[in-house]
Amino acid sequence: MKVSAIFLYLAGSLVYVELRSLLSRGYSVRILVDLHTRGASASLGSLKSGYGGGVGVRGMLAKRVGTLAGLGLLRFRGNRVGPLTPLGKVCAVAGERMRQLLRLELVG
Amino acid sequence: MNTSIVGAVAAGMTTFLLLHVVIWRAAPSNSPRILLLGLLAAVGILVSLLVGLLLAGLNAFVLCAVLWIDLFAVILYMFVYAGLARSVSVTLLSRLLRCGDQPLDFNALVEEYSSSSRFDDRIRLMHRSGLVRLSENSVALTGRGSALARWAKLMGQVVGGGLEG
Repeated sequence: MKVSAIFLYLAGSLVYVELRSLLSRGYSVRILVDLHTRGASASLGSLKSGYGGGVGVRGMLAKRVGTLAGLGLLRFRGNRVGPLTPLGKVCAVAGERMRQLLRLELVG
Repeated sequence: MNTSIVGAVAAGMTTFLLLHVVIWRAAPSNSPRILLLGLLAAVGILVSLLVGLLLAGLNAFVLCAVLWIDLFAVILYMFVYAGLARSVSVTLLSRLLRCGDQPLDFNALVEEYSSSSRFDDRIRLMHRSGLVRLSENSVALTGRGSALARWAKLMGQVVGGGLEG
């Protein structure tokens, strides 16, 4: 009974975490929101340069690099990104292997 | 933990993951196929429950434990899979892995990503999913895309997070 309750709670917590993650970092979700804010249509170029309410691809990458550095997966000092920490290398190799295993090609 | 529970969960999740890998390798696709993945997860959970029934009989506590542990495992895997299928961060890690111990200039990284087709690929995938309509050089929301955008904005207000992307 206790096991059931713990895992049910954990499952619910995970759903919340995934929802927060999707909303705060979702690439496609943000593109949809940008389009919606611009009256439902835009040129491809302006959508790319104005991604994320104006931060663009640079802002998107800066956020991700900052998060990865905060998680201890890579070093980020000034304008220098990398190298990967040992944990970062493990995650990178695992990610690559799994993408190869599942034949996922067009990714983020 | 009860060995029946462990055995049942192991059987179900192994079935799910095996089916997932076999199908994804036999028929690769750029679509994330979340519905199909959900269906395979349901098959895995069914197998777990059947094995649980075989091992422990009609024991409600065991079957409930199997169900909730399976659900947790499936949701956790969906989280991992979403990262594999679409995560820019995982792509960045792979990129830096190829650099070995050499750091990259951030501006060069931005330039490389901007000049790649990744953004355009994402728009094309969204077009194929029916969320946007892509024509020549312009992108427009479909009804479905508009509904999803409104939902995201509402949920962003409810959970209090910023839709930064």
